[in-house]
Amino acid sequence: MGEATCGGCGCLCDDIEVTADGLVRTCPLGDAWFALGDRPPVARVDGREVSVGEAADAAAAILREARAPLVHGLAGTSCEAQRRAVALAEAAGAVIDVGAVAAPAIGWSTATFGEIRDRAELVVFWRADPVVTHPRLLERLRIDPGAMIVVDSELTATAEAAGVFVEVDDDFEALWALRAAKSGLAERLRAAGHVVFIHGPLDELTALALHSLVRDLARDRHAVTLGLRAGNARGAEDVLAWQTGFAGPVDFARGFPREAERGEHDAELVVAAEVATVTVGSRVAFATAADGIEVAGTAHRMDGVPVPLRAPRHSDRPSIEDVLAAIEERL
Amino acid sequence: MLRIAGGTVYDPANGIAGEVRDVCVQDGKIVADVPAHARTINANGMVVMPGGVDIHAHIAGPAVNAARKLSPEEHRGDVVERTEIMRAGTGGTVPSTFTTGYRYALLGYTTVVEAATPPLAARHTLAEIRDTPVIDAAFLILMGNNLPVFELIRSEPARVREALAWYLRSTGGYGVKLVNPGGVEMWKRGNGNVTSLDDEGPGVTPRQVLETIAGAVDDLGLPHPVHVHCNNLGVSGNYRTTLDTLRTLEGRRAHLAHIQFHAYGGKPGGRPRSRAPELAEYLNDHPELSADVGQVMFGPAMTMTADAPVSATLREITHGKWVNADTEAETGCGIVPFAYRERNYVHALQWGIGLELFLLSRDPWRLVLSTDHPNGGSFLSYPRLIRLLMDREFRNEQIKRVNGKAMKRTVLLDDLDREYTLEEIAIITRAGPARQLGLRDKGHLGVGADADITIYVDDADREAMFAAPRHVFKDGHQVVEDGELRATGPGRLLRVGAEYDDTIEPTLEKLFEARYSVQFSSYPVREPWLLEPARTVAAR
Repeated sequence: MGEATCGGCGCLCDDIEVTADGLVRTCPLGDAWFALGDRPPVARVDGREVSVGEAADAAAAILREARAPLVHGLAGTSCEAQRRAVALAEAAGAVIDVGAVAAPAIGWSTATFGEIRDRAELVVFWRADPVVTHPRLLERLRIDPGAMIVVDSELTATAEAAGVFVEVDDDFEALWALRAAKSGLAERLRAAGHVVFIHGPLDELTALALHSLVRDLARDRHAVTLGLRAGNARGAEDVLAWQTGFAGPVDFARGFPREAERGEHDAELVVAAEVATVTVGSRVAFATAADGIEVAGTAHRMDGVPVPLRAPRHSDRPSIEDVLAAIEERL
Repeated sequence: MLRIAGGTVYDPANGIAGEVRDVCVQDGKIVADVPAHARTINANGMVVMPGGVDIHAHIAGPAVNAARKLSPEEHRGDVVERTEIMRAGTGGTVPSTFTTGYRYALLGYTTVVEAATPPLAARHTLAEIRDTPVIDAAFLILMGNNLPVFELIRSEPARVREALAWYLRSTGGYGVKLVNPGGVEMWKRGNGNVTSLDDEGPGVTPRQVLETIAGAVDDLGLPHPVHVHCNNLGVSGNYRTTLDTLRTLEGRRAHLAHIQFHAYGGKPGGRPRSRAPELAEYLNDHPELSADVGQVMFGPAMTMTADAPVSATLREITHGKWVNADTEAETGCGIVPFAYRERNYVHALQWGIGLELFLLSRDPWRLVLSTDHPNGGSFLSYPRLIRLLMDREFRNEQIKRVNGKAMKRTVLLDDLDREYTLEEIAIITRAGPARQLGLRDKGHLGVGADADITIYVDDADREAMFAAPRHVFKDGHQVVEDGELRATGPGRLLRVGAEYDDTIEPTLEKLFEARYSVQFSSYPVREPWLLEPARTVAAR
């Protein structure tokens, strides 16, 4: 019972109350995130219930025998557990992939929620549908529908809430055209004193085009971007970057970090792909205590702001961090 | 127990300048003597100094990490392999956390101050410090563009001290940093800035911010005075703003960050000139002030600053990578990779101004070494900088190689033949920074000091000597032996203990709601694993 931070999406709303009567201020994603439901036994090997130690032994054996192990997932856990996951990947000579793409080669301009809330004059949602994926974002950023433009390939829920919807097929072309053209949208961008682009996942080329456009705009007005992210995906990217120097997938096979191609692997350790789980290959599964519900820690909101994860409920299960440490010890 | 026997000891804080004597260690501290059976290291012919203390560097936190993400090409070329005692990592101008700790230790540095953390991001900085082994680390919190504090400056300036103490206690911070006070807030409002201390800017003038916060830090009796990055960094003619800042601070203690970047004559927009002599003279005459130089070193650098408008200017010079990151209610951030070139007039002038400041300084205790790592160059370039200061012939050769027009604008060609002594180097790299930081247990080898000790093989090539200490001890543990890393335990957080009146909390809570996007109750860092192990240094 008490205050909580919701890990249902990258908004990481830290104003949630857990009361005897239920949750206060959660959205549907949050309600689902807090509902842990019936959970399987703590540790299983081949479907059989075993001790945590026995399962960790089996997990370590799988990782030791693998030639190209892969560690991934990680958005659903704390920075503390992510830190442990990087250590484990390093010890196992594995590839670790937190789902992030390498940072845009030309750089980027960004701002935290409070800056956007208090300064934005025009907010462009580029392939972003926060009404569905980040349900409290519009409320938290207090964006006026008249200041919203949605650019997407189809009419989204966010587009329905916005003043303007612009349909695009080819993102790169559309963004590149905006840098030069005198379209209505280009004019509106240039007329605003503070422009924000909120975007969903972008491929490398589209990201380059978007950040180039923002950089152009930033010469004569304030212009920033905010990428929509899941849970603590931003934290995973940050932890990996400070421990290795790289944000994208990292390969430790040679004993030092280098950028990895996404490709083949012969064993995988999946951390928190579903809430409070660690699985190793198809044989070993842990159902842990849940970070942010039963385990305290920290997480990075999608704008980079670190927030505390609280533990309003108690669990006797080990945390993800504990499980990862137990596996690493046995490597 | 340990006896470092027969070394030539430089311990300026205790008046020891090159005496052959023993240094004894027990339980992590310097002691007067140890029994005969204690381990003995023969330091005959070697130079013994306290561990290095870096008063101003950027090693941890969101800006540093953004720079890491921005520069994968640097990391590809400089990798560190995992060993029994080392985590893997990468180097370049902005190394990964583990590598940062190892490389500082290998350089003989045992204490480092991260000079610019948005207090809102304290958890991030603390988590990186936790992953930065060996060295003790402190961080300064950015308060020069803080909106709740601006509101208090307008309405209840007497309570600013309580607010500062609250922010320090809530974050685990060590001191208060001002960066371009008022100007960064104007930048976030729409690419503005302030250009003089009396610009109205965000409803308070830079002068009000300086006076109120410097006074509040003095009132609180913090061990380190207010740490100021002046307005108009890098702008030709900015020495006037710097002098105005120093005069405004007069009577209060203050530390000026990287004054090299604030020592330019000329007209805004025009070619800079050196005004180092004027600033050096002012500092010489004002014992309440200290500064670090912010020397630029030729080669690659990574400019990263809370002074985001400066980065936008640099972007237009390099046309290369650029990051901007606005933090609500507190600060901005800009990052631009950079390279200083010998033949470039401006770069050579900046290099020359840094050397002028060092060579004209009459009090090494108050003008200490920094490159504003990695802004003026990596901390790995300190040994070369030490050689430039100690070796006139080496320096003069360098002066001949760099842009001649720039050198003519300095006094470096006017028989400036000073050579720093080993004692003076010990002051500008350990004893002085420790004193300006108020770290009583650091930067000296007197009884009761932390047994952070660096032992060098005396070598006429001072760059080689300082680049590779023979032995380094941290808290009495040998971390470097024969130039190799041997132990890599955690360092500790150095934080300040400042008291405040609890009635500031409801006041701040009200100011928070309209300005932050996190709950007031989420703000203070309470996670023990982020705050331990730590040492709290009490305010006076």
